[in-house]
Amino acid sequence: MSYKFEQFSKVMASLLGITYAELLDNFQPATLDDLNAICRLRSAGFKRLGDNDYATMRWRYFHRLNSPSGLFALKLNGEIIAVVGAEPIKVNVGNFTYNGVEAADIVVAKEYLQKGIGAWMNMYLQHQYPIVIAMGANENSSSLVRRVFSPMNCRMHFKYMISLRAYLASKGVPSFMLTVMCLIAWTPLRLRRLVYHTLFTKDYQVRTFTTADEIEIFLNENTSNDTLSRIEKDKAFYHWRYDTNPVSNFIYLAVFHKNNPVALCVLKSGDQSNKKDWYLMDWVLSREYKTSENLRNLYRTCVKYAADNGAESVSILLSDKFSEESAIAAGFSHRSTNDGFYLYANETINKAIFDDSNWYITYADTDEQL
Amino acid sequence: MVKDMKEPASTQEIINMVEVLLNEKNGSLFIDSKLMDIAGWDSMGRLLLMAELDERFGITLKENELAALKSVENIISTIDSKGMLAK
Repeated sequence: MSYKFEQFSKVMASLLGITYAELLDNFQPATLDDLNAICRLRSAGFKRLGDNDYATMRWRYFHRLNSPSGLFALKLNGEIIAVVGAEPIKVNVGNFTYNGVEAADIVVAKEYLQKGIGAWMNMYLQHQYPIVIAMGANENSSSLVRRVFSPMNCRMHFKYMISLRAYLASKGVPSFMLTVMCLIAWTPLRLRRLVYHTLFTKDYQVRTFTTADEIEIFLNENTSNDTLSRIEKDKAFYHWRYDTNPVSNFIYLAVFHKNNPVALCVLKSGDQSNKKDWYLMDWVLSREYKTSENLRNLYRTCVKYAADNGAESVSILLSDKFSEESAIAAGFSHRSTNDGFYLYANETINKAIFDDSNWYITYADTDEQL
Repeated sequence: MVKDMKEPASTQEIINMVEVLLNEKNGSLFIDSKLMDIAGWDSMGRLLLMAELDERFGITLKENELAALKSVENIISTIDSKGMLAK
């Protein structure tokens, strides 16, 4: 979608009764003094209160000491009327690394809806950064990001049901029918998995870590995927996102083959409200071990670890063929296909960034299930 | 210094402009197309139209004029009323 930022901004400013210069002046990184007002605004716009509490927002957007926050606020007459998250990301495209942002958590005050403010905030980020990625969390935000970003890979949700009983009960199957229903549903699933499980190589060792400090071995230059476009992560990222997360619990799980590090992933082992449905995210294979067999075994290892520790299901969200085939071969079942992620890259970036097949996107990249 | 002269546009050029602004396929809109039937006629689409009319024709739409637009024909009439429709 092409648009003229300055022209669009001038029109929007006039609708708000301010000048173009005032509009730009009034849109600044939020400070901690703004956070209470932002939480109130978000609570009015989003029902998922857990995402809106002060601690979570502070953790997410105000964690970089001596740097502006990753949250932009638009003020009118001193009142915050709209907010957008702009979480810094580093994106590798070929041999170049760019500083970009992930646009998220857009909220506009009710009385200022339908004035183009959400679109404008996205445009502003695109005007400021060479690369911006975005997700569509709901129908409204999806229709917005579709207008100002290029749609990329679809995200596919896969799930491995460890306990069918709990799942069927949650779907309202009466307790007296659970055993029969489990048997009916379980038999084909079990047969299918039997085939996959025979393919599981036994000489893989598993090791868990509790903090990002211990995973450095996986984050050196030998451990990265070799796709052309990817979001770069370092120890500081892992430490922030997982070790200091105020809402959810995470476990780092590493797989070794003959004492060589093969793969690393992060397992979300539940949050404050749900300890049974686990998520597999942020997986990475050592470059020399990037085979579907190793990825399949990583997935299988994670499922086994989760099952041994009380999980009733393990979910995974992915968007590339390699991961998809490995997940199916590990016994995961397709659940749904959601919107993909959305990308903006300015004219200085290699156009190969828009090729879906160059991306290797995981749960953490798509900023879900934090 | 040469003054930035705005050029009038034909009916078809205006329809094509609206198609681009509202993310519609080329040839999908007609003079009698209703704006409320077009997915791209949202808040962003309205602002894009306002910005384009301003830049291309020097037409500044007021909010009430924008709210009165119901069809592609209304857009053409508005441009015509400002003397920017090529005859």
